[in-house]
Amino acid sequence: MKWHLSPGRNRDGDGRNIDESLGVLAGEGAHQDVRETAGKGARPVPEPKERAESTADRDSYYGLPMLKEPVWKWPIPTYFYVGGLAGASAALGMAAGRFGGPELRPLCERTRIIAAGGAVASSALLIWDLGRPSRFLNMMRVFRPTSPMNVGTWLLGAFGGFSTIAALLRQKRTGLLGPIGDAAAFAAGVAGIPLAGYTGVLLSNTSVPLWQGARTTLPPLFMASAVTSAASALDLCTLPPAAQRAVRRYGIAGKIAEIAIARMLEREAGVVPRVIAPLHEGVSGSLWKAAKICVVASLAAGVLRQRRLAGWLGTVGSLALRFAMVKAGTASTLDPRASFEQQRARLGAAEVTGPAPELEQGTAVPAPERVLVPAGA
Amino acid sequence: MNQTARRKPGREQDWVAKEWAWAWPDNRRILYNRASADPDGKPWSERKKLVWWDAEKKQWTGADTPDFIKDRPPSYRPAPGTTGVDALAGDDPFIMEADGKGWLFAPSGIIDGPLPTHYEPQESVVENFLYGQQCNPKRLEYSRPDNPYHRAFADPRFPFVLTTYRLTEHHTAGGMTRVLSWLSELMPQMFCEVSPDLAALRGLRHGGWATITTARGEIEARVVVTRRMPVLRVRGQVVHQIGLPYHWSLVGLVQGDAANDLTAFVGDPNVHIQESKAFTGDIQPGRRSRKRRAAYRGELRASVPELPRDLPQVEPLQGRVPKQHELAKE
Amino acid sequence: MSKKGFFTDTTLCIGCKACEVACKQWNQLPDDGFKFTGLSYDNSEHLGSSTWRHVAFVERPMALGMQVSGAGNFSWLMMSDVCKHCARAGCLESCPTGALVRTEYDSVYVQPDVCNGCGYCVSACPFGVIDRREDDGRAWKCTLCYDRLKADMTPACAKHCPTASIQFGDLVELRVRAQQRVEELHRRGTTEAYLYGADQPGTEGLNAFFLLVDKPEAYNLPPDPVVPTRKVRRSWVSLAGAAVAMAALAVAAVTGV
Repeated sequence: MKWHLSPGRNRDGDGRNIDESLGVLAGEGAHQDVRETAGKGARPVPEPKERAESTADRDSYYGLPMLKEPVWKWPIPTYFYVGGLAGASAALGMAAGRFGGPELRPLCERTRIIAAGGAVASSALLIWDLGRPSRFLNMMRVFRPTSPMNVGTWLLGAFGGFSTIAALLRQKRTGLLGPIGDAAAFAAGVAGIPLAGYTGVLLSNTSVPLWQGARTTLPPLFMASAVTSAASALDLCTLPPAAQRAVRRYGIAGKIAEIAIARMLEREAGVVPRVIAPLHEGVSGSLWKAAKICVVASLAAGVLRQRRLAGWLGTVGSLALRFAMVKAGTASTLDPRASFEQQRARLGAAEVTGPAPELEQGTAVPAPERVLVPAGA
Repeated sequence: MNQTARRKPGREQDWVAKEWAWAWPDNRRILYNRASADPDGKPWSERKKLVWWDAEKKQWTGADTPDFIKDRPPSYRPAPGTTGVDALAGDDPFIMEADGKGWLFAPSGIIDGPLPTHYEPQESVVENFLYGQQCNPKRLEYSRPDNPYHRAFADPRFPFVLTTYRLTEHHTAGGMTRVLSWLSELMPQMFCEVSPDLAALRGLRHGGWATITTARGEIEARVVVTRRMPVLRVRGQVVHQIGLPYHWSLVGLVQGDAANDLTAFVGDPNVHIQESKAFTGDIQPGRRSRKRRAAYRGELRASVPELPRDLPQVEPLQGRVPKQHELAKE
Repeated sequence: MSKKGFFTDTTLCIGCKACEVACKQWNQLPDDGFKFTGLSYDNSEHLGSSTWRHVAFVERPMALGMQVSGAGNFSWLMMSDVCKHCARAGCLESCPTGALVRTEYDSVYVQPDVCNGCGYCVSACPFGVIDRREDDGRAWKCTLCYDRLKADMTPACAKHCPTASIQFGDLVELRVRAQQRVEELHRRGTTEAYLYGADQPGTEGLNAFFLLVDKPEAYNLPPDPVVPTRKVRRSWVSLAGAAVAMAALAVAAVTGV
């Protein structure tokens, strides 16, 4: 027997139960594009997750996530790396141009190219990850200081402009264009420094328990990692000895800072062990461990003057660190108890407002008679 | 004004609270409320008065809408030979009954009257505690090969109580609601509800599959293990029940096995409703192999010796709706 | 225009899900796919981009205060969840495009013609309400039936709630009513009853608040939610400090000091 839904024209089977030949779609959700549920007839119902029984463990709602997991895909952690690399390169280039002698001029040129290339790649990655890429310019519709993403967009815009000018004029040393190029490189460096770390603020300004719990150390960690990224990328370039020395010093300091701050981050967010758990287990835990090992190894290689090896290890370590942090944050949103325990430990709103009445009320509810194995235990 | 939306608090009106929402059709709150007044039309209780006879206006009045012929005085007595509403005296409150009287003893109209009592359903887990007669002696049986009955009680093949019911999200067997995605997504799949004890007894896993069997057929359903389904104790005996919503079938956006494939056809004597609220069956973990039905191959499990449902002199009605003249003969 | 909101009294909820269906029908939202969860009678699990009302079913191994029940040590709680329209909203403050705005009714509204789907609001919401629909690319959530409010109508969910568990109205009045309801329940012996979110400090209040009888966690609500923006100052300060350090490091690296 064949079964047909009402014979709609365009939206047949889109889950709205509206025949467009008979009615108009005009509700608040009418513009929602629906492609996934299209189709007629019986749809399969997937296998449910098996549990002990349907009685709830009161410490969470069946262990279902309380938060939505971040929707960002691989372009975002990649951007964190590329943007940091570009910013930290520009910072080194600024210092080399302003305080370095002519022997560092090749370093300046190299950093200008990396900065400009990084800015272009960053923009591409960010636009790629948007749900509606054609609307990327809406980011600059407003200036909203409460949104680190908005601040970052303006920052990246400025950085992109300065670094592109600096890169185009990198060979000009005299005349009118030389000083303009130098000034642009200096401005790119000034913008590049916060660009290398604002992504840490961006992640902190979320409800993701790990990122919120690491909000003091996350921006410096990303900046230190950006220094490592830049030094590692420059380690993979051909440079004169003076420039190599500068890059080496830059890289060693960055790597030491990165290792130290990573340790501090584990301590800051680890006040509630459940929040930090994704940095110790699963894919994110492995990435985090790999990142730390790579950076330590890169540091050792740098000290031992193994430029290429240090460069590769540092690059892999920096990338792994960004992916570890994004993946671990995602994992911490999937565990409702991470948020609950964090907030019960007075690390929710209580940190800025004092304890909430609900927090007190919640603890006053009598404990249940424990007859169940909690779901998911 | 939307009468149903009225929310005047009880403390701001009299105890009948007629301005809270609406009672269809006439905002009458208590049926047969003429009975709250004595034969003379005066309230039996001043505290609980509902309606009374207003001799001056010559009509019934009161806090509630009178459920009586508005201008019929308490003293009215019908002349011999009058019929219909005219035959109701002024002190006959039960105006839906032909004689206006409330009945505890129902000498006519109900086939299994004249007094209410208790019988076990056609298929039970226990013997009738009240009578030697196990089931309603006037029930309507359909003795057909596709409708085998289990043993009257304590059938070793089918030890559990099955009961079917509705969910809010679907309408009856689901034919209208399973085509609406908004309702289908809220209740997408046939399931059975069992207690943790029964789940442990039969090795049923929450979220897994189970096959529920009667002599008529078998269906598969997802298992929901829940404490909402209590374990009963009937005369010292542990009785497990299995809850079955009956909203799924072959068509629509969501499909599944139909609980009604399990029920026995046995009608109550008055309106011939089948006994789908209480019957017996068995449950086993896992999916069914194919849809086995008694209609194709006879009883699903080998017969067991019957236990008597009826005392020797009792014969239940058989097969078809009895005609009025047949009932008259009895 | 006065501030509007919802008071959801979970002690009156019967779990009929009329709010979920009414919301989808009025707003013309699609279904979310067919999924059987086995979690009591809850097969929608979460609020999401096309589920703007969601009824949670909590089967508890304990009785409710003063509850007399044949089920013994057991109670079944239902709660219709919705966007809280926080007085300080994480989604709104984090939105880089200005797609999220506050309306004249003090509700939080996503403008679908502006949203570019960056997904930041999804992670900024402390309640996990707003979500991006992958095939659509934009973020969606409850609008407090903005179109109905403009026509002086009650939001669809509150209109269809048969037990007045969902009450819509002026926030000032709703708060008074809610407080009276809590006191009444306490008098009757349901001493667990309390208001969640009427005065949430982390968000400076919720325009959709709830009367609950168990810990917020049991209903999948955070016990002490906070707008991330309120806590991010420390991040900016930390960034500033690190920026100075990085600049110094860059100079030191090239000068060899």
